[in-house]
Amino acid sequence: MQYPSFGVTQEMIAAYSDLVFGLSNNIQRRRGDPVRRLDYAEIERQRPGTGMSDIEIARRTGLTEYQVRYIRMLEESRRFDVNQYQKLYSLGGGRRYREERYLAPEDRYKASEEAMAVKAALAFDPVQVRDFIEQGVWSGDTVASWLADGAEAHPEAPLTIHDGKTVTYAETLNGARRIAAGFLKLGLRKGDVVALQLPNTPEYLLTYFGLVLAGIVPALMHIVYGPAELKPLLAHARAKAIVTGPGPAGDPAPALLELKSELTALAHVVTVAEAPAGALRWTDIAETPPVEDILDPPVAADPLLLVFTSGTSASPKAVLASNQTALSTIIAAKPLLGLKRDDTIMSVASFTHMFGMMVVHWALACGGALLLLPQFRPDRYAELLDKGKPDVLFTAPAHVAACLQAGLLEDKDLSSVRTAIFSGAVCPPKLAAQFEALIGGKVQQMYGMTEAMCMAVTRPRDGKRVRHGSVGRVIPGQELRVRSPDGARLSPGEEGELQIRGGAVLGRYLDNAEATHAAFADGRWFRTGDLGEIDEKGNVTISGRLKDVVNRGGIKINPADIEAAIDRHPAVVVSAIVPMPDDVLGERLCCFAELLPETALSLEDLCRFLEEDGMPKRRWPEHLEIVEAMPLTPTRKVIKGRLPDPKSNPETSKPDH
Amino acid sequence: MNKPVREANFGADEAAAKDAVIAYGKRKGALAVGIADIEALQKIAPEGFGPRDIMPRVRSVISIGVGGPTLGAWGVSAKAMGFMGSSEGLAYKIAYGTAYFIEREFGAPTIYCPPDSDQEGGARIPFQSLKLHAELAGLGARSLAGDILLHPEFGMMYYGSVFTELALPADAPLNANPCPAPSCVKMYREIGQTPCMKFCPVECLSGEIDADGQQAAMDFDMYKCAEMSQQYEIVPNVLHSAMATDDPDERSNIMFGEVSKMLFYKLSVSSGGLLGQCFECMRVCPVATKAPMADGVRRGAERRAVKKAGD
Repeated sequence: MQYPSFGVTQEMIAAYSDLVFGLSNNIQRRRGDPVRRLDYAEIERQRPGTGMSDIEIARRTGLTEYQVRYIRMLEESRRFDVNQYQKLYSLGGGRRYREERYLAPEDRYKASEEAMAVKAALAFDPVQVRDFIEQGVWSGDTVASWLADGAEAHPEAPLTIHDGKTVTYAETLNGARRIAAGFLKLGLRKGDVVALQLPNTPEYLLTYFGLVLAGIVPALMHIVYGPAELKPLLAHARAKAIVTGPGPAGDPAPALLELKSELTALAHVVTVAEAPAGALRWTDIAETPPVEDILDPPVAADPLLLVFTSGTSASPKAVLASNQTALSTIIAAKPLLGLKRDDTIMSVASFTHMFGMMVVHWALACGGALLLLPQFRPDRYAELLDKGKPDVLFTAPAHVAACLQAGLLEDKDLSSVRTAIFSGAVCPPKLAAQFEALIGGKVQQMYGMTEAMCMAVTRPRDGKRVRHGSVGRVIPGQELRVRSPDGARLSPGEEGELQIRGGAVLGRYLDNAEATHAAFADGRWFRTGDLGEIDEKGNVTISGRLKDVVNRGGIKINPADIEAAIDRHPAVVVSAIVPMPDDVLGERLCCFAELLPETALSLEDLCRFLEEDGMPKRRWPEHLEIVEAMPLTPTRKVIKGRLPDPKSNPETSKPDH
Repeated sequence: MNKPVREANFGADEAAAKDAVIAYGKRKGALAVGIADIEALQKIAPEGFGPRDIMPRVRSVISIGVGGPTLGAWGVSAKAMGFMGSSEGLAYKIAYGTAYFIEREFGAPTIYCPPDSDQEGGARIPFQSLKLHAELAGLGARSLAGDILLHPEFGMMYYGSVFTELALPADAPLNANPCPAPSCVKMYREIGQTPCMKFCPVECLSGEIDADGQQAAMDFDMYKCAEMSQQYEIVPNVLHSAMATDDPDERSNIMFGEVSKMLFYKLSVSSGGLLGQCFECMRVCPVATKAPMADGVRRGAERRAVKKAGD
């Protein structure tokens, strides 16, 4: 029945609702104990307060009984809070409800729009998700739970060693709780992104662990990036804060503060250095009273960290790892790397790189200590290897090559190194053998990349041929295959593109559908872009990058072995071969080289060197460019995309030799 | 020609009949049985809600009290306790049996008072106040916890009522109110709240205690209390929200989310709301939890003794 049937107008509803509601038994006010005392006069006097029937209210207000009933029920529906009962749902046995302890689910679990947009990158195939869970590839573990478990199991064990000072697991957890509290106090919530740009220092690790305890997602920024390079990445990540400090180009904090007006999400700039006006001091955040109970702690399916790979500034390629994806390979590869409890682990890879973060997670997984080298410098690297006595070393081949070339390891005692794990770039077998002769144990190799983390490793029991000449076999939970450029299956030993599928492979690039589409082949196989082969025993050999192949008049030349040969030239620090456009052949080989100080190199000298090295003439460079400093990744791989366009110069070019 | 029979009380002695009714109720598991004064009820009940409004010839209102939850129930999670203290079923069962007992033994027309809601008044308006019946029958006194009745011996009880044309001598309300307990008065003096006031999740309780330690005022926002245990609005709210949204995904979420599914399950088996009862006020009430017969084990022993005496 509609309200006009009772003669109720909207005006009546507005005028009488509160009064009728208050006179009904919805609100009860009793004074004394008149019913028990049978004090009828007092009962009658209090009746409007103790609750009247609709008939009584009608008589008192001058409305009809039905009008009263209609208005009362309308008001009851309007006032009813359907979610009140949720207040009791979090109470355990015997606990009492206390208002100050209660946070409504919509407040407790609310994620920001930015967090939800970033989290959308964790897009996985449902069949794979089921398989990963059922097969145990994805566990329920989180980095936060590993840190807490470590602090409980071995609180006094060191987690970081830096400049002779140690920070224990318990101290790290306590410090991380302070950092977590500090960022939560700033209003950040689970899923929000905080950019992290610090060297491999205790401050970096405390910040990282603090963020992940709160479920905040660190976006790793390479230490060399200045404000101009950071800006598109911060925008893409929707970063709400950045933690930074003095880098090679000074402290970016002042310039970042100026960017805040252009980056709508960026609310806070935190620096470990002296904070300029408007920036926050890292030490203030680190001194926040520690949070004991995170209201909405991260779970395994939550985002863990965001890492940029490459791409252009207009279209960055950002990989979002969850706890599930990031820890799956850590768990699977840990026994294959022979990591032991109490190992001292040295990582040369920057923690702003996925390789470096994998080392951090392996240290947590085995209860080991991280021996910190804030930034790579050959002399410091050699010194720390000698004095720090690491049991395990994670390094890129270029780090070792640089030290060997400079003769920095000749007088050093590296006997403590039980395992040296090379990754980050193709390792020449000779380099692996040379380094193994210096250490107390074995060299192993690992094949990994940001999009798929650890893919393959050599095993400790593998012979030298495998450990020095391959990156080993695929790890449990991942699958590797080789395909021709047209997608055809290749036989063992045939070179093609390596493709990976498994529990650590990214869901999709953040907000980059084009890159995602290009990155995946059929059936969720991720195209690594690496050229390689897999032998009959499953050992993988990397031979180069697919996109580095030079198409010289229809003949495809993989430049990896040419570069390795050029790098052996006594004047060359590092080289890179890229295609140079050519009207006749389409592409020719252009060599970029960084030289040692006070040395020189001509194209003729280089070709003579290659001829003596046995390199076929068709693979000699046809143009040489000398650069002052080669653009390198943290693992010292050349970033070919940042090389300048080859200049046409008859002095440095010799087409067709 | 029935009138002389009624005046003669169906040939029954009032006192003996009352003893028989009480003995029957206790034998069946009641903790306490009392008779409310019908004339007092008629005066006190709101207009339209006196016993004679549903049974014009009623001469006696029998109130039956059964024990509350086990002692252990007060210590479980609120979510579990919401569905494990429903002893009112026993009260209704005994009341139903008592009605038949009276008709069988005395031939007096009798009804089991419907504990349900008045269809015209809406879901939250009962046919009768079983609480008022019990209070006048001396089975409890109004507490600061929203007038929930408390008894110094039995603590908190669930009630059922029986209306009969059989005249029975009425009991008097309790001489003294066990609420507030001394410990509650002490707490009130310190912080201005009793435990029930302090721990109410929706802050629906407030009040005052006078210098003698007696209730001076009880303020109860019954509507907030109802939000915890009488969620009649939730289902229409779900439907209304679903109809009001333009987003099809949101509509699906409203209709098929876990809360909605639970609600419709509850509807399908007619077993109440998302939270059967709240009772946080009773959890912390020293009378409800510590009265001698609040102990379920003691209640059981008492009941077995009554049965044995009856045998």
